[in-house]
This record gives sequence, structure tokens and C-alpha cells, in this order.
Amino acid sequence: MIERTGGVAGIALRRSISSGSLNPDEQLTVNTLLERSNFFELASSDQPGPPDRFVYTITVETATQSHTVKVSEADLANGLRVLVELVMRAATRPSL
Amino acid sequence: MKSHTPVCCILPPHILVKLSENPAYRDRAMRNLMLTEQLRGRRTVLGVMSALAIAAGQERRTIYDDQHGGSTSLPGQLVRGEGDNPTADDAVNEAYDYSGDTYDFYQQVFGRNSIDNRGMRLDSSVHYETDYDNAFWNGQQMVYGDGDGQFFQRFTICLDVVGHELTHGVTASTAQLEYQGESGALNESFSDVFGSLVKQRKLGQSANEADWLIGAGMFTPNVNGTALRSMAAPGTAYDDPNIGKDPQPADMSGFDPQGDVHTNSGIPNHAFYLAAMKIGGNAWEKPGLIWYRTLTERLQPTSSFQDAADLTVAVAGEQFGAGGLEQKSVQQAWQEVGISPSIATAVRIPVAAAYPQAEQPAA
Repeated sequence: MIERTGGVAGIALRRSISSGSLNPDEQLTVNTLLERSNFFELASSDQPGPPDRFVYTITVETATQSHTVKVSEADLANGLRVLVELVMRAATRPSL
Repeated sequence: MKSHTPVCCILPPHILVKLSENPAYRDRAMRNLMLTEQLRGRRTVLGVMSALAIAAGQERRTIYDDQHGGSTSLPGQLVRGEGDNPTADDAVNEAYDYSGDTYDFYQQVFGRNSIDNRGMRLDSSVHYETDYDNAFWNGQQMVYGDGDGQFFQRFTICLDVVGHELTHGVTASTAQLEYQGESGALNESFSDVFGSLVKQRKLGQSANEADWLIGAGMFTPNVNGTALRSMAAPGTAYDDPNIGKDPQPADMSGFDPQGDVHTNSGIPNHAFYLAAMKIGGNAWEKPGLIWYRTLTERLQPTSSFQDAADLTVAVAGEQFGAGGLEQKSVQQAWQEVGISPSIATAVRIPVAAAYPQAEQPAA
């Protein structure tokens, strides 16, 4: 699940995907991205990001673990950036 | 361009800089340097020359098209330089015009020479990424998205939003309010306040005539809302099934300790609105000056709402007289949003102590 806050409009959005709704290719993509970005070892930064950038709070739950990372849009490393884009576009309706 | 015996583009910038220090060549060297620098679309030369080169009132704007690239492709393709004619691209022209309006505001109202008070160039990139519902100042330049077109228009479309972003640069050069908690909400509020004042002055609106909305026109007709935020009535700007409801509080009873800085900013925003309405006239004149001096001379990175209240009251007294209408209006405004300013104990922080790294007081 991803919560996006911040931005000049200050509007909060939530998007989530579950692996059950993904086809095998998409599942592989997500798993690869999580691995590449070393997601489960990532620490959240306690520094606020630059003004008016989006802030993403990303939570991933598997059968065995759950981990949350909070990161500014400005600091999204490539693997995480692609994952965020994938999830943000996945849902057709915003859920708040 | 006038033609001169060329001190010309074949000379590298550092030689032109040296020549410009000689009064006999200065004018010519300056002109050629500016042209060279503009063609290159880079700031490095200006940075070297800032102290001697930038005359107050000489704004310098360069607009780039990021062509839907991300941060690694910034600034993008140069599409409009200072003095160039409008292009066919509305986003380019709005970025150009509105950064000019913001420059003019700070220069003409407060004598501030650009964001850093040293004539910093105002670069903007438009068409950042795709469907990007945001705009920001990244420390060096403005960056604008196109909006998704479904809920949001392009982000150059509102003058106050441009002023808001550029004011983050002013804050970063002065109080450096940390972007979290109360100091972060103050940071946001100062951006809304001065963004709104840029718009009000451009439109020639007194406090009574202004709409006190931030980003009116940012939403598409698909959204049930008038603006991103309301300073007059925080919490009422929008209520939409897709976007949600405006979460801003108008006073401390609604302060959210976990709230986004754009949420709690409603409280100091409303205080400014109330002070401006009580004082009357054009809000950028007396209230604007009080808020400007507080931001640029008094506030610290970790200042709280209480500090802002105490300091705006103190500045109002110093500027317009202790016990005057202005000071009383500012005091009452903060009281109405739930903060009681302490007049007698407001501490004057000397500028040198507050900004030991500054070469001179920011003014």
C-alpha cells in the first residue's frame, strides 16, 4: 500500500495492489523491484523532504513480514520509483 | 542587440568577468557576458559575478521545457529567455509572466532583489514528467507539472501558486523554517501568504476585495471545489468524492499533531487573513510588511506558532507604534486562532545572532 501526502495541493491519496490481482509477469516485476531496492532493509528517513515534494509512505506485507518506508519523492531510488509508479497507476479509482 | 567592438563570445566568461571590473569596459563586457550566459542557459557565471553585476530591478528569467522527462533531465530544453517574445506554449508564458510578477512584487514592495536578495536568476522548467499533479522549487529552479487533466490543470496556471513556490526560496534564504511540525506549517503559511499577496497586488485588490483563496483555478470542472485552500475559511475550499475534503483547521482546536504541513498551515494563514481584514487597506502594505520582516529578520528554523505570534506582534509595534491599530489587530488575530501572543516578553533576536553566516542582514 502506498500513501502519498505532501505536494503543493496537500492532498492525500492511497493506492494499493495485492499480488492476487497481478498476473505472473507483474508479480515477478514487483518482486524484482522489491529485491533490487532492498526494500525490507530500508530505513525511513526522519528528515523532512524538500518543500512541496510528494512524500510516499510505502507498506509491503508478505506472508512472513511487513515493512514500512517513508520517503520523499526527491529521494526515490530507481527501483522504488518504478514500483511507486506501478502502484500509483494500478488502481482506476483513488481510495482515500 | 547593439553591435560593439566585440568583447565577444569568443572570450571565456572568466575573462569577461575580469574586464567587467574595469569601469571603461564594464558595460560592454557585462552585456556580452549576459548574452553568452543566456545562450548557455547556465547560472555559473552569474554566481561568480553576483555582487557586482546584478542591479536591483533586473530580473532574469529562463524557461525550459523538460519534455516530460524527470529530475535527471532538468532543466531541459531552453525555450524562452529574458526579453524573448511569448511562445505558443501557455505553460511557458505563464511561468515567465508569473515569476516576473513575483520578482516585481518582492522588489517593488520590499526592495528585495530576487529570492536570495542577490539577484538570483529565476529558472523554470515546464512539462515535468507526465500527468504530474504538482509544482516545486528545488533550491535552484521552479519545476511545473502539467496536471493529470482529469482533476488538475497545469500547475503554471495560478499566479499565487507560482508565488508560493518562489517564496519557499525566500524562506530558505532567511528563516530556514524546518519543514515539519509547527515550523513546517509556518513555512507553508508564509508561502501561501506571499503567494496570495502577489496575486492581490497584481489584481489591485484590497483585503476586502481579495478572495483569499490559494490555487483557485487549479482544479478542473470535474472537481467539487473552488481552490486548494482558503485563508478566509480554512476547511471549505473543496469537498469532492475523488479528491477528498479540505482538511485545514482554522484555529488551534483543529491542530493535528500528525498533520501534513499543508494542513496545519490553515491556522497561521487564518491569522494573517484576520489581521489584514482588521487593519484594512491593501494587505501587502502593513500586514505584508509585518509578516515579511518577521520572516526575514526574526524567525528561526524551529520557530513555533507561538514564536510567530510573539514576533509579528513585536514587529507590528516597532514598525507602526506600540499599542497602535496594527499591533492590536495582529494580537487579536492570533488570539482568535487560539494563540495568545506575549507582547511584553517578545524577544528581539539580533540579526547577526540569528544568521551568523549571513554577510549582511537580509532585508
